[in-house]
Parts: sequence; C-alpha cells; structure tokens
Amino acid sequence: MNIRPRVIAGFIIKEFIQILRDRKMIGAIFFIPVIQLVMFGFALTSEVKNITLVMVSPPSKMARDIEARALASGWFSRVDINGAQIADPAELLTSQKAEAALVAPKEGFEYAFEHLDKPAQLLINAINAQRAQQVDGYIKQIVLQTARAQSPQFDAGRVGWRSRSKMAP
Amino acid sequence: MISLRRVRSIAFKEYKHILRDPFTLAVTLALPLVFVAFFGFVIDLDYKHMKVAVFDGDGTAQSRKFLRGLSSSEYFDLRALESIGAAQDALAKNNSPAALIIKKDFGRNIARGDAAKPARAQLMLDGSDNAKAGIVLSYMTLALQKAEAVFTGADFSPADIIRTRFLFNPELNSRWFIVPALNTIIIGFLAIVLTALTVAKEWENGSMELLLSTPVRPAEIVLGKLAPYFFLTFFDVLLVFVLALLVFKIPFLGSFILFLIACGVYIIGALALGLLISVLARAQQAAIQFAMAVGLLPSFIFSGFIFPIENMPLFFRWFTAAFPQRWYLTISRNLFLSEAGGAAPGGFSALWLPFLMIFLFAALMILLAVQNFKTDVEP
Repeated sequence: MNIRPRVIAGFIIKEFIQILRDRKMIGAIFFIPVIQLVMFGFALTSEVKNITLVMVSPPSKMARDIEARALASGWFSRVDINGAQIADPAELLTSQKAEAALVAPKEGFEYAFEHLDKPAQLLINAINAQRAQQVDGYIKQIVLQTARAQSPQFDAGRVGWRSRSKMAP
Repeated sequence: MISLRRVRSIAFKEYKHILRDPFTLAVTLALPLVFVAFFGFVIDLDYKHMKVAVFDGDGTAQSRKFLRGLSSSEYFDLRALESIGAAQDALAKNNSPAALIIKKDFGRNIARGDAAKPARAQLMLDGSDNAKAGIVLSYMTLALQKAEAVFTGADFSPADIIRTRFLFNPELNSRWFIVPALNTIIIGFLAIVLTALTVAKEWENGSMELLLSTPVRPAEIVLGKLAPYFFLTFFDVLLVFVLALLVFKIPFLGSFILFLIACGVYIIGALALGLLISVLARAQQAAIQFAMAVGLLPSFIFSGFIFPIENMPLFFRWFTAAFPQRWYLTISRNLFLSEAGGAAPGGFSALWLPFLMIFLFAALMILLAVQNFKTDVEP
C-alpha cells in the first residue's frame, strides 16, 4: 500500500479547518476540559473537609483547645451550638446538626485525660463509613496532640515514628 | 374532564409497547439487578484488610510483638518482605498502599527505655489515594500508641482516652452507604432517560400526532403514557429495597410510609422531567443526550452517591442543592439507616428540607411539562 504524505497532510488541514469552523466542537474541546478540571479539582474530592464537630462538655480550657486545634486544622467547620447545654448528643447526629460529637464525662475532659477510668466518648455519623473512619482518625489525632501539649504522661514514648507520603505528599 | 377509561386504554397500549420492545423490557428488569450486583458486590469501598508491606530489620521479640499487634487488627494485612528495597517496590508498583520499615535496634531501644534514643520505625504511604493514606496513618498511629502501652507496661494507652461509637452504621460497611442510594440512579435512568427516549420516539415517528388527533385529550395521553413507567420504576425501587434488606442485611429504621411517599413524589417529578425533555428535544438522539446530562450525570456526581457533598466547597454545596437527586438520596439513606422520620428524637428535622425540595421539584416539572406539552399541541 502506498501512503501519500501530501494527501494525509491535506486531510489533516481539512479536519483542522472543519473543527475550527464548528463552534460546538470548539466548545467541546476547550470548555469541557475546563469544566472537568474545576469539578474534579475542587468539588469532587474524597478529601474529608467541613466536618461539623460539637464539643459536648462543661466549658473548660481543654475543650476550647481541642476545638481551636480542630478549626485550625482546616478539616472542620464551625458549628454554632453550645455543647454545654446538650442533653442528648446522639440527637445532634440524628437531626444532622453535627457530624460528630465529642462527649466529655461529667467531670470534664481534664478528668478524662488524667484518670482514664472515664474516657471521653466520640459519636460519629457513620452513614458514610469511609468518611466516618477518616473523621475518627482526625479527631483522635487532634485530641492526642492537645493531650500531649498539656500533660507529660502523654509525651512521645519509646517508639519514634516517621511517616512519609509518596506520590502526593 | 379526564376520563380514566381513556387513560387506562393509553396505559394498556403503552404497556403492550414495552412488552414488545425487548430493549425497554430488558433495561427495566435487568437494570436494578445489574446495579445491585455491580455496586453491591464488585465495588468494595471498605477500608479494612489494607495490605501493608513490612520489612522487619530488627527481628527481635519486641518487633514481632509490635507486628502481631498490628496484624491482629482487622484494618491491616501484613506482608513480610526481605529487604527495604522490596518494601519500597511494593509501594511503587501499587501492590500495597503502605510500607512499614522497622529499623535495627528497635527492640533494644525499647528495652532500654531511653527517651533520647527511641526505637525507630518508618511508614511510607501511597499519597495518591489520600483518603486511604489518611486512614492508614491514623490507625497506624493508634496501633503504635497501644503497642507503646504494652512495652512500657502501662495499664492504658493514650488512645484509650476516647471511645468511638459509630452511629447508624456501626460495622462501617460501605455497602450500607451505597445500596440505599442505588434507587437514585435507577430512577434517574428509567424515569428520566428511558421516558425521554421512548416519548421522543413517538414524536419522531409521528405517532404522537396521530394519538393527538384522536378524541383522547392531551392530559389523558400524558397520564396514560407515563403510568406504566411509573409502576415499572416503582417496582424496580421496591426490588432494590427488598434486595437491600434480604441480601445485604441493611436495616431499615425509618418510616416505610415516608419512603413510599418520597419514592412516589420523586418518580412523578422525574417522569415529568423525562416528558419535558422529549417535548423539547423531539428527536431520540437529542433527548438521550439531554436526559443523560440532566438526569443521569447529576445522579452520580452531584447527589453525594460517590463524592460526599460535605467535602465540596461552599459554592458547590449550594450548587448541588439545585439537583433533586441529592435530596432524594438524603431521604433514602436516612430512612434506611438513621431512624429519621421515625420516633427517634430529632428524627424528622433532618428530612423536612429534602422532602420540601422533592415536592417543589415534582411540582415545577409537572408545571413545565404540561405547559410545554400544551403549547406544543395547541395551534
């Protein structure tokens, strides 16, 4: 078979002209990738954000510190609910006013951290199991960081841990 | 005045059409089964038994104890490797989302208990799946803290200061999240795409004009034509409901009456949208493109089916509010899993807005479809 480069070049030019003349095609070529970029770059993400956490506890420095760390992390959104006045924390989740509730024992978070016989309870809406696991991990990390900053018994222990994320650090 | 007899006759004619058309019949009967099989069995979104490549460079009792602690958790399946390079390879070749390297003297440094010389371990994560990487890191950190408590002989670990209770899906089964949402896709396909396609076919063939020239009124034609699709879609929705309960053992904690109302209203709105598309497009090819764009695509990407709405920036969270798929899906998932609409405190307060939105959608679509259909048939 004899391939004639001039003929192929002619066809390529003809196709280009045809595409450039067709407004719909131009739209499809340039507009759709931009839309997809915006959608998948910003909106459609599996990165957990906007977690609504309510601290159900009497007002205390520890509760404020945990909340401040959570908000500073960028994963959480502020919720205007006074956690000290919540009688039934599970209702916050059923009514979808919050996604997670960190409930201190009656004596407060300080007691929970010092004595450990009455742990704090973390309630998470787990309809989306994946997200719930991530929320669980995030909140525990934040609570432990706060505990470490406030109490020497939670100081880094005998195992040094270094984690490195490859591909998308 | 609408004559029920004439509506019934048109519906019977449409029913015969469906029975004679193998494509429509196959799609209607097989679609829910295909979706349930695909999303329920094939796709696994659970973050359990994640493979971790491990190189134990220490090989002491302490390092083995640490690894035993990790493997006893349901989150990790450890795979022992012979060298650091092999562990890195496993990560690079996507054989494993994480590689754990335990450094030499891990056991000796633990036994020494000197905070200045801690035992060393390195965790490498595949960050291209950030969700999985985050979960591996969280659970590794917690497992490490538990291990530390064992090594130091402490009767607690820092991880014990919080006890987690996962509400509504305590087993963290991702199928409980996916299967109750499948109805959104099925309604999107059958009520919107299939209706738009089959009604557009009537316009294209000219048989709609023939029907309109008979004594049957336009409203009777519309009701008669859509009735079989309403019942078929409802049948499929109930089929998925039964499969969810019997095959996947997903609990249904909410009100069944509310579920039926939500399905009925949303299907009516979706059928009206399908009819509107067929009137506007008039041709099958245009109708299917339009129906896919406004019916099926949003069911997948703007409803929260796969990508959670909560993760989106504020603008897109508001944007998704325009899609009824989001609201119907919220109702379906909540009625299945969270006692919403039941007797639980705060139950219905999460559902009044989604219900309002699907009622508004149905009312608007009926209004637009009737108006456009009337404009189209009247001289």
